Amino acid sequence: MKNNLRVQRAIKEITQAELAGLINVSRQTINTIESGKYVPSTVLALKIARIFGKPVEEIFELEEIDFS
Amino acid sequence: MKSKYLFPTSCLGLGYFLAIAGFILGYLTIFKNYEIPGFGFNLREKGNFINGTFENFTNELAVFFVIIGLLFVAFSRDKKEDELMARLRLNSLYWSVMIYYIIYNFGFLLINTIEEIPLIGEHLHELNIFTPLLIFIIRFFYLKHARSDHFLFNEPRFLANKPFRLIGVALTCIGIIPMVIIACTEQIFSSDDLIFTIAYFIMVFGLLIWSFSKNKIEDEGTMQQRLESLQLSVYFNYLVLLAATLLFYSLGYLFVLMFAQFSLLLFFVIRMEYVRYSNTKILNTFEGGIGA
Repeated sequence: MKNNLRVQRAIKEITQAELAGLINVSRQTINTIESGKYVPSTVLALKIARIFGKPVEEIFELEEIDFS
Repeated sequence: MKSKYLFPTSCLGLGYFLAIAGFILGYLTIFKNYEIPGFGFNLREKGNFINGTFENFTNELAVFFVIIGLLFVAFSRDKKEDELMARLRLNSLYWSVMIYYIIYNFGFLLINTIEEIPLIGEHLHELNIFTPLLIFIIRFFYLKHARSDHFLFNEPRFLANKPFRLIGVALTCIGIIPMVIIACTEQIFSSDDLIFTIAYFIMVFGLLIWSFSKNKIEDEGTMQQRLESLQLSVYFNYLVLLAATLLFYSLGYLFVLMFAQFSLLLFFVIRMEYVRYSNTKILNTFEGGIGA
């Protein structure tokens, strides 16, 4: 699964730390999500999408490998 | 949450076979003094009173079979290895480590009574080796099958960060220092040494509290790290144990068994702290990219 979280953050001009504070997770978790090493839970993904005011599918996208 | 570091599904059958064979062989070795004839080689130049020249490896083989067999049974990939399975594994790992160490700590206090029990009392150390794996397997299979229609189980609960993390770290250090001093200044120590025993008990208790307390910042990412760390520390613990089984004999092996009692928690704590340290380093050197 790929995401464009970093781009969205840049558009909205908030840092990882600020985003982490808004949704009550650690900055570490945001970093691992952005680098693709961690897949967030549904609740976390929905919270992130709400912060940016976009639907979840615009931030997180399924890839071929997710279906194997 | 996803499970990593699992064996392929085909290992399950092999695991059952090895474990059962190992248990039978172990039973024969310990209780019937059976040895596979000729299965060994001349280890020492000159025999002394305690050890002859020829060292038989049947009991090492039994330990090998049991440990590798149980590892395969416990950690083979299931046919549907998904997020639910990962939660089951975390719950089972949590249970097995906690129950094993609580039993072990209370059993430690009652060690004099337990040693009186015929058969089990004398071989406590050997039986202790695979108990965490057994508890894991029992709990994991129970969750998979007995609760298969609703899968309702509690999230593992951890102690609050303040004050328990500090208490755990403090107790571990308080316990380790006398042990190291005694071990360095005396060549051979007996377990009757009261200070050593008390320090050992404090250290293990401290490690237990440290392992089961929350980090300062606790979220789903850290829970995933916890699952991985538990998994890896189980593997590493048994790897060390298997290597030691090959390299150490008689008295040296008893020391190894004693180390194996708490090494799982030690590895877990070390790995968690290492992950936390390296993550902090990454965050500090690289400020989150665009618009940071």
